[in-house]
Parts: sequence; C-alpha cells; structure tokens
Amino acid sequence: MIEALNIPPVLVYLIGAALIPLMGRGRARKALLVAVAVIGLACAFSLRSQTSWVVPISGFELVFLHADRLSLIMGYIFSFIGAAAIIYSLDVVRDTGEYICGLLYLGSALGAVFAGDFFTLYVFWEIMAFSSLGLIWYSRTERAKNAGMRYIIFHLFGGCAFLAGIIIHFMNTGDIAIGPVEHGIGYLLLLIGVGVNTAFIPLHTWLPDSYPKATIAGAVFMSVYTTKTGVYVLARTFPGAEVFILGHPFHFVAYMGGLMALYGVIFALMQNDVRKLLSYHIVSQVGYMVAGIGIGTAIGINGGIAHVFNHILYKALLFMCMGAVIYRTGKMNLTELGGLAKKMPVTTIACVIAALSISGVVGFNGYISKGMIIHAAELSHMHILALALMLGSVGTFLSFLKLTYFTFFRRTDAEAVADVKEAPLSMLVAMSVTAFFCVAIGVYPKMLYMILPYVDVAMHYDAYAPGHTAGTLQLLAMTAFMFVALKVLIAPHERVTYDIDYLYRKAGRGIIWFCEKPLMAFANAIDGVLKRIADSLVWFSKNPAAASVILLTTTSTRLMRPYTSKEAEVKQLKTIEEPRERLSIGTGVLLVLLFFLLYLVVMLIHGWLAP
Amino acid sequence: MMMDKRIVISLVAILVLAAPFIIRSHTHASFWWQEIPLFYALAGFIVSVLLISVASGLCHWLNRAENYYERGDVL
Repeated sequence: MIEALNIPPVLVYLIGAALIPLMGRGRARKALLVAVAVIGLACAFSLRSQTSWVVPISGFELVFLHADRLSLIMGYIFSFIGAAAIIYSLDVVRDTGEYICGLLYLGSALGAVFAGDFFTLYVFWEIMAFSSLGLIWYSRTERAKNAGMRYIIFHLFGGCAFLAGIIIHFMNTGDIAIGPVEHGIGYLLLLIGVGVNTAFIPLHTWLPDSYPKATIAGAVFMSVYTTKTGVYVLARTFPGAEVFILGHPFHFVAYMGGLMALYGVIFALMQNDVRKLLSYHIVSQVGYMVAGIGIGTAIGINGGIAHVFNHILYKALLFMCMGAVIYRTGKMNLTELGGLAKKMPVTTIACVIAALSISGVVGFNGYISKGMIIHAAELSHMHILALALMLGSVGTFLSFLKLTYFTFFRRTDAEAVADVKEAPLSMLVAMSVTAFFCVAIGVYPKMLYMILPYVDVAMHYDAYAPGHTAGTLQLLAMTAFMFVALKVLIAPHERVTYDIDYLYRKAGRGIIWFCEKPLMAFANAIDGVLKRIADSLVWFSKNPAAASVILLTTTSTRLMRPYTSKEAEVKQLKTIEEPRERLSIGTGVLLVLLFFLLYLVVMLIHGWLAP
Repeated sequence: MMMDKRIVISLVAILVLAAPFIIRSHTHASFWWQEIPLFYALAGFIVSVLLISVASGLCHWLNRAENYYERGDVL
C-alpha cells in the first residue's frame, strides 16, 4: 500500500504551512508540526523512480515529480533532517510566521530536488530564497534585518543569472528538462546562478554573513537546504564541468571545490562567533562536494552526493548544538563561553560526535565520504586537488578542536555560563537521533552506499582500506597534537575579520553614492530644463499673438543693441510691459482648426510617403 | 592523574605512528609521496603549522573591531 504513494513531498509541507496559522500557539500546533514531519518523511521514503505530476502549461510540460536515484537520496536526507529540525524547534520557536517560513523553505527545497524541468526548479529556487529570508528576519534584530537585506540582494542576483541561463538554454535547444547545458553564455550564467547558492569563492559572502544572524532554529534549517540544493543542481547540470580558459579545457568546478575547502577552513580558524565559524565550514565542506561533482567520474559524483548526505547530518547537528548553547547562555562568541561540558552533557556529546564526523575521524560518517572524494581525485590524477582536500581536512579538525575546546572544555569563570541548564527535551531528542545516524553510517557505510546514485561503484569502495585508515589516523593525531601545542595562536579574540564582502560593501556604497549624487544631479538638471520649457509654453499659449509680439520685440531689441542708443532700447522694451489682452473664443477655435489642418497635412504626407 | 594522561597519550601516539609499519597496505600508492614512511604524520605537522600561521597572520591583517559593520546600514 505504501508503495502506491507518489505524492510530491513539497505538497505535504505546503499544506502544513497553510494550516499552521489555524492552530493557535498551543498543543495543536505542535501536533500538526509533528504530523507534517512524519507524513513528509513517509512521502519521501515511499517514492520510487518515476516521472509523474506532469502539468502542461502554455506549451511547456512542467514536471513536479521526477524521481531517480539522485533526487531520491536528496529527498530522503532533506525530509529526514527536516523532521529533526522541526522537532528541534518545537520548544524554541514562538512565532507562527517562523514555522511557516521553515515549512515553505523545507518544502520548496524538496520541490526543487524533485523538479523535472528548469522552470519548476527556478520557481522553487526563488521560494527558497524568500522563505529563508524570513528565517533571518525573525531574529528581529537590526543586524539580522540588514544581513537579510544583503542576503536577498545576493540571491536575487543569483536567481536572475540562473533564470537568464535557463532562458538562453531554452532558446538554444527548445528543451527545458534538467540536464547538462551546452557551452556558451547561458552555461556561464547558469554556473554563476548555481555558484551563488553553492557559495563559490567570491560569491560566498552571503553565507557567513547571514547564517550567524538567523534565528536559532532558522540557522539549523538554513545550514541544510540552500547550499545542498545548489550542489544537487550542480550534479545534474555540471558533472565534470570544464570551462575553456584561453582555449584550454580546465576542470573549473573541481578546482573551485578545492579552493573553497581551503578558503573556508582558513577563515573558520579566525572566527569568534560560533555560528560564523560553522558557516565558514559550510563553505569548506560544500567545497568537498563541489570537488567530487567537478571530478565528474562515477565515484566522484558518488562521493559528492555521499558527502551531501553526511554533511547535512553533522552540520545540522552542529548548528543544533550551538543553537542550544546560544539558547541557554545567550552568548554566541567563543570568548564568552566555556566549561559547558558539565552543565550540558548531552549537547556536549552530540557536539563532539558531530565535530569528529565533520573532521573525518575514522569511524564517523564524514570519514567515509571525504575519503571517497579524495580517492576519486587520486584516480583522476588530480594530485593538487587531492592535496588541497587533505589540507582542508587538517584545518577542519583544527577548527573543530577549537570550537569544542573553547565552548565546552575550557575552564572559565564567566557569569554567563555559571548556572546554565541542559537544553530542552525537544532539542535533545533531535540532536540524539541525528548524532546516532552520524555514527551509524560511519560504522556501517553500506547503509549509505545502497542509496547512492552509482550503487555498483559505491559497493566496490572500501572505506576502511588499511593504508587509508592508518594515514588518516596519523594525520589527525598529529593535528590534535599541534592544536594542543599551538592553541594560543588561534585562541578566539574579540575581533571580526574582513572577507571579500568588504569589497562588495564598498562597491555597494559606491553605487548608492553614484545614484544619490551624480545621477540625481543629472536627473534634476533634466527636470529643470523640462520644467522651464513647459513654463514658457504655458506662458506662450496664454496669448500666442501678444506673446509672439513680445518675443519679436525682445529679440529684435537684443539684436539691434549695438546699433541703437540706450534710450531707444528702453523705450522699445517699455512697450512689452503693456497688459496683454485675452484672445476671443473665435481666435481660439481658429487656432484649433489650424492645428487640425496641420495634422491632416501630416497624415496625408505620411500616407503618401508610406503607402 | 597527570602522569596517567601522559602515559595514555604517548601510548596512543606510539600506536598511531607504528600503525603503518604494523599494517602493511596492499593498495597501490597513487603518488610517490605516499610511500614515504610516516608521510601523513609529517603532512599533518607541516599543514597544521602552515594553516595556523596563515590564519593568525591573516587575522592580524584583516581584523576589525567587533562592531565594525554594525552601523545600522545595509551595506
């Protein structure tokens, strides 16, 4: 019976979002949220590979449910973590609007991964951008308001590039089914559009800017969907993408992934705000996925998608733990935190599990997928990429040692953490379930292999090859040792760091200045000229006969100025001071008739010239 | 207590460092550098020092007061 279900999961969440406002703020709302989470989960897990819900609209076939192995695995993890995030937010979130935004966001992300054509994808893509904006703005702070504005500007830019790319692709091929795109300007625009969502370096700044300012539960949602939907679209349209630079093909996407992995960790190491540190790690981890997909081989794409799956688990878990810490202490900077291990033991254990997972420690889920991507890079002889990804994992471990040490284990006598309680039950349930899966997949990776896009290739990958295991252990053990030795150097401090966003802000301020100053002056000048023309026309039309006489007199006086005496000129000009008579109605009618005549002549000439 | 910790840590360290000699890998190394004994420990050392120094160096160069961006403007 379950097999027969083929409802697009997006519907469940949209209906849920519509029903939420009717439920008040009490138990009924909680019951509905849990029901939506469970039904959504059941919907996603009962889907089978198929194409249905095809809606023809004005010549286009919009496909709302296109399920294959790639979209199914995304559907599983999206709906699973959606359920966890909903349960996490039950005790924290008060605003009904925030739940609506959360459900719309989660639903449209599922809509996007099950969309069968570019237009449906684009619509869900934009709903995601706007509903996630709500999750930032519900913090109701000035910083959140401004950060949200910057966030949406960035995403509108990306969305426009994406739409332009889609339209060009459609004009070239007449096909709107999602798939690889032909080279050309549309290709680049689509890559930029996807690049904004997947946080390609120079386009990543919205991410560490806005996520730390989102609401506690909002950040958990946001850490999951936007970037991973981007990775999914990348896997659909740009697997192994090459960009021609000076006529040479270049694995642009793969190396961009390597760059992101490194850039993210270096900036993460410098952060003080816990959620900003995590946000830079999203950039870094998405870099691994982008690298896997950019390599483009079966094992590369498998690795990238496996990393999406694992990353969603541990990154949502990290945001949940840090959300719990912020919820209980009200502090979000490492300098103000410390010694929470005894006060929040469950949160601490969950956070340590997530930190070990993201660092790729043997036995946790991050180890499986990260290893797969590095292995794929080695097989494709991309030595520099493999090295960059390895460097990245050292940096990841360093910054998570920093995060967990300074939040939970460092001794502190700060008042903020003096009498802190463990997180509320709903948070603990969500964190424990997610942490369980982080470990379970690490211990029994076949569970994940079974649902990967290329299942045969995945089953042949040996995550626990002795050489790889020993190498990883050495690398991480040495990193831990170096952290203990050098932790003074990367200890948190009360400063913020620039990123490329500094340039964007400068440029943005420049554009605003340009609009306000030179552009406005230009507009005012034109406005003035037009006003004067209009004024003089009004003056002239009051009494055209008298006005023309006045004009004639003034002009002739001016022209004759060199040849006449001063007295004569004054005398001449005196005549125009005479009060002007109004014309009779008859003259007015005559003028109108004359205009009509002129119009007739123009029409006749026009008709004669252009038959 | 302190002594116990140190003993445990050094035991772990010895085990980890000895692992590649105890477990013989049958997989063919993809790059020449993977055949260097203790390559990964060495890499971990070098990379950690590199990343920490780059990060703390950049930090000096790029840092601003905590409320630097909070002037009430969008940009």
